Amino acid sequence: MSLGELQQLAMLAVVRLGSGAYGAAIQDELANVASRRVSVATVYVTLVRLEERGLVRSKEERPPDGRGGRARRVFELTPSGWDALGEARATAERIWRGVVQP
Amino acid sequence: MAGCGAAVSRSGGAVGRLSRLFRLLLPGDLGAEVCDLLDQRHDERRARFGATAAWFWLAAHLLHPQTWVLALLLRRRQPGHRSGGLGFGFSWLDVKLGLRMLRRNPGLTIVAAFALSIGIPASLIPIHGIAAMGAPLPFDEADRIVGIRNRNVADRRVEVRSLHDFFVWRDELATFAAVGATRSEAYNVISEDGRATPVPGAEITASGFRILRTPPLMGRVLLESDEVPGAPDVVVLSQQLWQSRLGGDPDVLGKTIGIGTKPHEVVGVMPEGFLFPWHDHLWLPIRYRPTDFERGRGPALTVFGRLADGASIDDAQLELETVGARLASEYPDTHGQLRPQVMGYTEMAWGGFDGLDRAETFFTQMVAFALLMIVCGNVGTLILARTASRSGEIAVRTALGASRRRIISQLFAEALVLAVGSAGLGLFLADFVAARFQRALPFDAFWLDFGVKPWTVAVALSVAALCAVVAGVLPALRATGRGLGVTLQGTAARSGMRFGRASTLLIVAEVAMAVGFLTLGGTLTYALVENGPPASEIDSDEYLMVELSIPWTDRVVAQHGLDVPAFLEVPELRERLMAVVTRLRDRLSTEPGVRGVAMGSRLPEMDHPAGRVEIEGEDRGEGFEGYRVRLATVDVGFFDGLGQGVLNGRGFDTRDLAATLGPDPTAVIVNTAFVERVLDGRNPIGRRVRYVVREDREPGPWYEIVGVVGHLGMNALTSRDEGMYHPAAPGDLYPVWMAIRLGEDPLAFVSRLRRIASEVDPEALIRNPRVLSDAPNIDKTVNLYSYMLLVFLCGLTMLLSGAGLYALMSFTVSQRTREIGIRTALGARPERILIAIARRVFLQLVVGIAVGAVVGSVLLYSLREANIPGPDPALTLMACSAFMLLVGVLACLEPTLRALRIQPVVALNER
Repeated sequence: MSLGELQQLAMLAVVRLGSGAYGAAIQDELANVASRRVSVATVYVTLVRLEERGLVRSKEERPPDGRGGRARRVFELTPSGWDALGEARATAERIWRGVVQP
Repeated sequence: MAGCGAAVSRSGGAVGRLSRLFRLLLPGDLGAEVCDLLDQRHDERRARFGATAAWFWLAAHLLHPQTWVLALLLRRRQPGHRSGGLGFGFSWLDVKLGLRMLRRNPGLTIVAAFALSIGIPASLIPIHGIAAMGAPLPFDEADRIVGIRNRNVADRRVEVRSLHDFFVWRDELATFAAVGATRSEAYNVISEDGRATPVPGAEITASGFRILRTPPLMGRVLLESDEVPGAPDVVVLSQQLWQSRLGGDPDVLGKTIGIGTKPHEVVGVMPEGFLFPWHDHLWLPIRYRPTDFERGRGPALTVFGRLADGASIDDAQLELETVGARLASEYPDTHGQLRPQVMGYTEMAWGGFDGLDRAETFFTQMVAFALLMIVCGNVGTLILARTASRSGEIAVRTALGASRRRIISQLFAEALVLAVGSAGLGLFLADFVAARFQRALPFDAFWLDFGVKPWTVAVALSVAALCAVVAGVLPALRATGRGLGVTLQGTAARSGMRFGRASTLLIVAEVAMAVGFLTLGGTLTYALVENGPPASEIDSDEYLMVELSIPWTDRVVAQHGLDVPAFLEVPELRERLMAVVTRLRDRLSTEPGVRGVAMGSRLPEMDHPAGRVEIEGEDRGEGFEGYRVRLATVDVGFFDGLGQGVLNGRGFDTRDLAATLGPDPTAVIVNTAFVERVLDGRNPIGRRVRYVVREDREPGPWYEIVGVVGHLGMNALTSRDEGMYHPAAPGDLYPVWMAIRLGEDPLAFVSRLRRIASEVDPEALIRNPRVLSDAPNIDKTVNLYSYMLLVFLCGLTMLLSGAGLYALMSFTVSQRTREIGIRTALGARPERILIAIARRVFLQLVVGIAVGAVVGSVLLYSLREANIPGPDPALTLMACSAFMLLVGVLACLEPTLRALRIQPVVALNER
């Protein structure tokens, strides 16, 4: 299962953020760590597409009692998502093998 | 909806409306979460950049293609979503229905498609133009390539003579991996048979190639060793030049080609598409040294560099300012006012955008969108009128269970089909126009491409969707409003639909604009046709015109750091130019087929500069600003070269040239228009004229009129071509325009002329060859395009106002069909019915014409002030108003006839 670059980055951001992997945090992670400034809509399009492919799943997380705000959707990788990410990494490593940067 | 609702309650107004749109667009919990996040980001931006910037940021997200993709994805996730649908509650069936409705209403389709196919691409011109000009260079990590320049804070001009600074920047700046410099020029490439062709090229430092990181196709790039004075002369060629001039010779390396006066060894060929810095085809080493020039003097250089790893543009600016401050304190005379700047390379190439430019661009873009929204409002008016005729159908569908949302979706789908189709057509036309526009530009940058890009298509489709909302959903909301039940009952004389106040204002404004444009267009057409320029007395198809110049490579020029007008102040250059011009003229006089040669600062058919003169002994009183006359400086053989005898007096001769160098009054020749208009037909010979100057300045010398010539195309716009010619010696003009009389096919002589010129001086450049009748004339071009724009605007406003009136009348008739039927049945006369239904339309038309007449009067007054002749103003206004009235009546004719044909039985049985 092939992954686009942004999809890979978004999945890695989900992994890095763990239980805090919701839309805003993922957008910040992409900007701060991967230097990819993408629009809010682009982040959610990527996440929705990954969810449709079964590579991530989301659950609604309500804020702790006594704190205001609405529920937000937290994302995590599915086993298929882990497989796809691992496959992408292995492919990259295979193709890099033997390449010497001048 | 906590998120977007919060924005509504907090800021209300414009932000609230945007948030509501987002909420409508993005359904479900996830949609609400996205709205929340947009809200949060909006608030962050508002705190940092202010409320307006934050609002536009949010508005831009509404146009972002990914927002619409997300909307589709979220709609697919909604419970009850039908597979095979297109989201937003509409399906392919709606699209098919939309297409069918467009076919059934060809008039509406054509007018709306015309307006939108122009309006949508036109609204994207600012954003598209800026993006095209700021496109990254096609090099590795091009965003790290930056330009460096000095800006004089006293006169706000860019100081391009920065040779000394270049060496300081190159040696000292640690935030740059490399700093290079380049300078574009035209060079004569001399082929083996002696043929000279001007080729754009550049002097460039070896470091420049390292910055650009483009390896050569063959051989090598320039090296630092090539820059040493006295090193062998070498050249690197573009792939295109290698193919065209050297036939793609695979053994080209090591061979020599003549560039100007010297042979140069070819050491490399660059790959296809490498044309840095503008559109250049050969590269020579830069050999200037700071010791050759005073500080602040030297050649005009473009300095650029590649940022070092880890360094940002802000770091570079900071370091540059430190160096600049040091130079300013060390050399206050030359550097006291200079401030170095670093910016993106393409940004610098276009002169650099500062905050004001960004604000202007932003404002222009918003104006463009606002104009598009007016067009959309107009199309919406047409759609509303069409929808009114379908109110019965809508009512029946509602009664059968269709929700309001479903009906709005279908009407939106119809508008969307129209808007997307129009956007597609418009983009196709825009691509064609962009290609022509780019070819017509006076400059060429290799990275510049104004063609339609995928992102342009995406944004245009988003804009089309927005248009469909304005032109489709708003009328649909009105059509499905409260009056629907009444319509179904069919008991009322009218349905609940109304033509709103906004539509009324729109129609009045359009009628007024149409009258205004018509007045302006009519007057200018009169000025062009009735008062156009007199026919030139020479057959300009027989002449070849060229520009003769000497390349600016001469060190003398660089040493003096001179601008173009001062070129002739350098004695060596003036003598050299004089020798080239004299020898070239002598050679051409013996050339078979050449029947005459004329040289001047301007040639017939070109645009001529104008000045104001007064006549000796005339006192025109207070406020007299002088007579406006066109001017040219010509060589003594100019009129003979054009085959034009002097009509009165004498021509120029060498005595006049001697006088130009001394204190005595000098001779001038005027044309017949000068005699007729300035001197009222009096004998001009012996009269003296001088230039009118400001009162605080010393007046210039008097010039004596020695001769009169006929009309020689000094003004391409109007009959006011009063003109005056000054004599000039061969070295007094730069650059020199030459007209060579040859007879048929003058362009065939170009290669022969270049050969002769290169024999006279291998560096003499013969550029811009054209037939004289095709002479570049800025006045004419600007006038032509302005006139075309005016005709276009006139046509567009007439069309839109006519369509608006048609829509209103059509709407009225469809709303009052039953009433008309009842009135007819009760024996009302047709004229009474006509008055009843046409009253409102007629009122709008008359008010619009009245407003337009006022606007037209102001425009006519302005034209008169600008000395543009025209027919009688009252007559013009009456004619334009009558014409608009006729257009209005014609637009209403079809629905009016339809109303008068209504049979009572049919009307009463309807529905």
